[in-house]
Amino acid sequence: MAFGDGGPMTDYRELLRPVLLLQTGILTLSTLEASVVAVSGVGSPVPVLLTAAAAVFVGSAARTGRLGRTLRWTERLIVATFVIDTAIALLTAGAPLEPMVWISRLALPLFVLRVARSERKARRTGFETPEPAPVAA
Amino acid sequence: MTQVERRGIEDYVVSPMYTVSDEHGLGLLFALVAVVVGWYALRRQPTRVRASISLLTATGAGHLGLALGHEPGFRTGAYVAFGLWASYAARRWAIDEKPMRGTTAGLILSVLAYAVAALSGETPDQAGLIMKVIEVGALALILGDGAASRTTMLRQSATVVSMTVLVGITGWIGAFEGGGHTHELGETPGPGLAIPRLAPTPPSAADRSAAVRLFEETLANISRFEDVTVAAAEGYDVDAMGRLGGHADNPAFKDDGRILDPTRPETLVYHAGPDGPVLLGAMYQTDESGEPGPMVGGSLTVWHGHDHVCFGLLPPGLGSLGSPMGTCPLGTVTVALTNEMIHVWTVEGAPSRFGELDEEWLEANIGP
Repeated sequence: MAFGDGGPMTDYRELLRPVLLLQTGILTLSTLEASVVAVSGVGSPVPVLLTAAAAVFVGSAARTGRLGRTLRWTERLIVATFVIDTAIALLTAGAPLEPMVWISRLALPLFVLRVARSERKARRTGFETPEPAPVAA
Repeated sequence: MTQVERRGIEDYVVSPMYTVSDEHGLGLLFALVAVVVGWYALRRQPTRVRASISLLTATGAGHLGLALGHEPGFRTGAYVAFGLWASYAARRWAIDEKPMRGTTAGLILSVLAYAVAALSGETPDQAGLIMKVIEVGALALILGDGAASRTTMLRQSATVVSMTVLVGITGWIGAFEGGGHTHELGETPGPGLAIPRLAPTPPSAADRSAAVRLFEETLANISRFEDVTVAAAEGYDVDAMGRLGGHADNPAFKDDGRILDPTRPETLVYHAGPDGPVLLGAMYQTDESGEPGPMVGGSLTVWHGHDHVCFGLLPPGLGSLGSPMGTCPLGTVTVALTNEMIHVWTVEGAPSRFGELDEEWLEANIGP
């Protein structure tokens, strides 16, 4: 089964926690950046709160492995802002955003959404995706 | 000085943090090819092992590619050593079916070495940042492999998150330490500042007199705005300047087709002093992003834009700058490139009339 072929993502669930942890780190950093701007008196606390909430949702999912509705909407929001920002970049700067943006705001959230979709599909069809088997330490 | 009709981001010099530097292009290419080849070659391995080895191979190949882009020296030697070690570690893992001893420590050391380089003022670029994300990803895969107690899992998670944050914070420090902020042609700017990619030329006598004329006409026209109530009465949005770093825009003067008109400066700039806002000067703006501002005084009057600005929507205002990790805070949009602008500093005793106003002078003479 290849990634993106629409089949079950059982194997790829093993990569879910590392991906979510990486996302948690990225969102934590973004929260710190927005906090610095807000504390300096220039910015607003709203982006700080939104990003901090997203970091908590994603971090919580990394711990529990549950891909709930809030997490899925958070990931969709990240992808949606990527699409908007890319359109703005093409209009104003004449070029898309840099490669790191594609990794953190498209590849990582799309991976999580793909796994979540596969799991929901499996549940609907009665095929439960098994948790990865624990490996002896 | 020749003017072009419209500029794209490639016509500006921006912080290297948002670009792939020439000497690192090969390293990034090697890493991307290695990850794809590794992923395909290991298709019979369990997914987690396949991903881990592919990422280790990618950082190994990437560092060897980085070495090819640099002159021989200590740094190049370090790239080669780490590239060979990571490639060997990946190979051992594929043969032994478990990570060799020291793999975790090696990856952590590589991230720490990157942080030290950034703290010493080396500006990061996209190739270096992607390589570190690859290494943190590999680290996350290795640390999370196997059954672990709740405490161990928490420690592993904290390691991955803190390594990611460390790369980002030290990336910021390196980018600001290594970048200039004088707004002069030929400088490599800090994050968020876009300087037209033009060769610096010494100003002619005509440039000098045009620059003096622009300064004097601006001074004569904006002096009355030292009283913010006068500025407010004439349409400047002084209420919003707290959110915009002391900048009060006049919406009626924007997009009016009149650029660099001293009777209609688009923005006034204030700074909080002990007795209220102090008028520092004016800021002229072009009507559209990419539209070159008229450099009437040649290299004395360099216009600049801002790139990777995270613009907050709730309420409108600055949210942040584009992160080394490629994000903007949620609730903001990324403005990849703003209109061009130029400041004219009319406040008495200002050390410069155009470009950047020295922060230390500002703090010492106006207020913190």
